[in-house]
Formats: sequence, structure tokens, C-alpha cells
Amino acid sequence: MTAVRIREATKSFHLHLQGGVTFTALSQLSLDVERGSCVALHGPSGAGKSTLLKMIYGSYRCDSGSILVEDVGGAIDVACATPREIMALRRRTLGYVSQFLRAIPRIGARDLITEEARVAGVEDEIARRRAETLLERLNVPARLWDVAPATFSGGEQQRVNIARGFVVERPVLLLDEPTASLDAANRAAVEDLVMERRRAGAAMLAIMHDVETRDRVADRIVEMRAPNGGGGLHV
Amino acid sequence: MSCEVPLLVADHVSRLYGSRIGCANVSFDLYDGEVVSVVGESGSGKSTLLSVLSGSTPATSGRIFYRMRDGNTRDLATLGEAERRLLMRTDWGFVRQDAAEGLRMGVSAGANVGERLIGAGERRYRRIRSEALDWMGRVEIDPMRIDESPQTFSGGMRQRLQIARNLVTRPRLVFMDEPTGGLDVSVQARLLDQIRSLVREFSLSVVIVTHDLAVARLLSDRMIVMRHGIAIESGLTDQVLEDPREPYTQLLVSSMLQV
Repeated sequence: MTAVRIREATKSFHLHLQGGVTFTALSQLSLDVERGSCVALHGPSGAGKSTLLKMIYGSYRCDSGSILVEDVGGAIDVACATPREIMALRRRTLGYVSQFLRAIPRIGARDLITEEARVAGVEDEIARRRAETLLERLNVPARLWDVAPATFSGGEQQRVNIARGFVVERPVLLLDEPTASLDAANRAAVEDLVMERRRAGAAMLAIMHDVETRDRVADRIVEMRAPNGGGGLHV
Repeated sequence: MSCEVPLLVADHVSRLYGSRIGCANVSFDLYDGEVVSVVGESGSGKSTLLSVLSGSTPATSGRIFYRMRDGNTRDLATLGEAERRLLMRTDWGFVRQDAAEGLRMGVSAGANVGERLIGAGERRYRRIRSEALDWMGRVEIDPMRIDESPQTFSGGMRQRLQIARNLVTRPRLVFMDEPTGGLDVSVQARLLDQIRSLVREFSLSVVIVTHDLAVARLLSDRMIVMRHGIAIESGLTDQVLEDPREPYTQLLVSSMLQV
């Protein structure tokens, strides 16, 4: 069953501050992602990989085409959904793990992860237990659990971020370099998480530069190239 | 589902001052538990909009609808004076940038919180005092200071007391005008964190006016960008900040400090 169906999605940015340059980031992209599948996006920087993930998540608007994400009551077209529909879709269906953690002042790692689950409707105690299990699996030392992650190392922040992305078992997951600053042991822990979610039927789109990780978790690689062959810039 | 009916609807709301535009043709819906930020620079009309929405300034044209506690949606212009006052005293809150405007500086901290409860009809003194103590604790003010005047409080404490005063009646809608403006950064972070958790705990709907995009990013689900009294762009907060479309929004976002 198709969880994400993208048809001729196109995105350009009109940069008013740079003399009105228009920059095409993605042109006429079509792609299906099935349940239980992990599609790895591959290509040079500027090929539109992160742009595509952000368009599916709704952080970037889509100029034309459609981005259908299968939701409980049927598919939602993110390309034309209202903010409210996208908010609901994110709560129950669509997860996004970015490369960087957006830390919140004063909130400890465990609470940050627990809160993500509570907002999605998971009961307090269960949310907390899930957060702790994930922190353990991702080898975040217990002495850090109640510390606000703003002062953590890059790798520690990234693991908190991953825990946050996996604490709710959403059927569609977008991963932007989830293992970029992790050592081998932690990479393996993330690979296990991804594989578990796949086996449970989640559909994933991932950007992964690490070839070994990609080969372990992805069942399909999609090559992306910048529109118009080059940097995609046209004035 | 009743939660799918908006709590507040602004329908082409304008406020003119003679020929000068305060705000013009602003429309948006606000649902239960949603936080909408209104951003823009000084003079963009964001505070005018807030004061029109909250009923302190009449609209020149356009209508504002509100779903009352009984479930009926009413045009605010048709409310009687008593109904309007009750709404403002109980179901709405208003957190002002200058706590001295939102608080009564001449009475004790406890009385500041208790007063709203009395306004909502509570008469039992012990109950009022225990609620006031409870709320001071929630906003991390030492309950021992209940009988002190807010004159003796720091800026951050006054702001937290103002929040307690507003939330004690369990309002469903809170208007906030630059609630963290003028505070030290560390005090600001603490206040933001408290606002954020209270909003979630009580499922508050909030319209927050701020010139600080980082505050908007942290607190709001959706964002409205205003310039010269007009709402020039709106959408999901992350969408407006990551994919700003209007030249002015691009300028605002590119001027934001990155840490």
C-alpha cells in the first residue's frame, strides 16, 4: 500500500533580497513510497533532497503538483492542505527527524521527548517510559536526562532528536541525516530503530550519506539531480 | 465535532484612525488549543489588531465572532455590556507587556490573583486565598510573598504574577502583547517555558503579538505577518519562517539572529 504519493512536485524560491532571483529547487518530481519501505534519497548537495522532505512535511510550500500522504481518514494532499490539516497530519501520521535539535530553554532531554508523545495523545506515564527506553537504547547517559540539551555535544543532541522523532510510532517518517554525527555503536542503535519501524509497516524517506547505514536500512535508492543539470539557478 | 467550530473568527476586521490605517481587512480563525502569533515591526498594526480583537478598541468595519461557553457563536458587537465584561473577566485573559498595566500595583500579589476570581463570582475567602497560593506556586513565585505588593517584585516576577492573575479563572482565550518584551534574556527563557507549558496544560487558545520571531517560533502553531496594517502573509509558523514568500517577510526572517 502506498503511504506517500508524490506527483510532479515543483518548488522554486523567489529571493527578493537577492535582486529577485528565482531558484528552482525541485522540478516535476514524482515518487511513491510504500508502507514498510525505506527510500534513500541520494545525490549531490543542491539536488533538492532536504527540500523534498520539507515539502512533504509542509515546512516548504509546493508550487505545483501533489503530495499525498495516507492518513487515518484517507489521503491528505500536503500541497494544498490547510495549516490545520497539516498540524493534525503531523500529530498522528507524519514524523520528521532533522539533523539538528531545536532545543527549548530549560526543558530537560527526557521531558522534551515525553512531551512530544503527550502532545500526540500518549498517556503521561507511558510517554515517560517510552522516552526513557529510547534514551537508554540510544546510549544517552542517565545523568543527562534531566539536563536541557542546549549544552550537549552534537552527537548527544542528535540522539535526543532521534528519540523525539521515534517516541510516537507514526506511519510516515522523514529522516534528514539521522546518523550524521554518530559513532558506530550509536549508528547501529539508530539502524535498529529504523528497521523496527519498517517491519511495523512505517514508510520512510531518508537522506543518508553513510553508505553502510543506507545499505542496511533502505530497500530503494532514488537518485536526485539538481534541476537543469546545474545549481538550478536561473534569473 | 464541536471542537471543529473555531473559538474566534476575525472577518475582515479593520480599524482606521481618520484616514490612517491601524489595521485593515484582517481575517483569520482560531481554534481551541491553537496559538497564533502576530508578528511585525513597530507600527505594523499588530497591537491595534490585538486591541480590536479583545474588544478594547471598536472595529471600524468587519466582524469578530466568539464561541461562548454555552457553545453559541456570537458576533461580539452584539454583546451587551454586562456580557462583554463577564467575558473579559473570566473567559478571556490579557497579558500586557508592561505588567504595571495588567496588574493593580496598589494591592497585594494575592489580591491581584484573587480579584479575578471575585470578578468571576467566587465569594469564599479561604478558597480565593488557597487558589491564589496555588497559582503563585504554579508560576514559581514564593507563596510566602502573597501579601507583598507587586511593587517589590522583579520584572520577571511581575510578569508571572500577571499570568497567574489571568489564568486563575481558567480562560479559554488569552491575548498576549509582547509578554517577554523588556525582560533579561534568562528571565525571558523562563517565562517562555512557563507560558508554553501552561498553554499546553490548559489547552489555551492564544493570540500573541510579538516582534521577536524566536518567541513566535517557540510558542505559536501559526503565524500572521503584518505590515502597514495589513496581514501580508500567514501560515504554519515553520512554513512562514523557513519558506517566507513576501519580500518583507524574507527581510524579517533574514534579520533574525541565529544562535
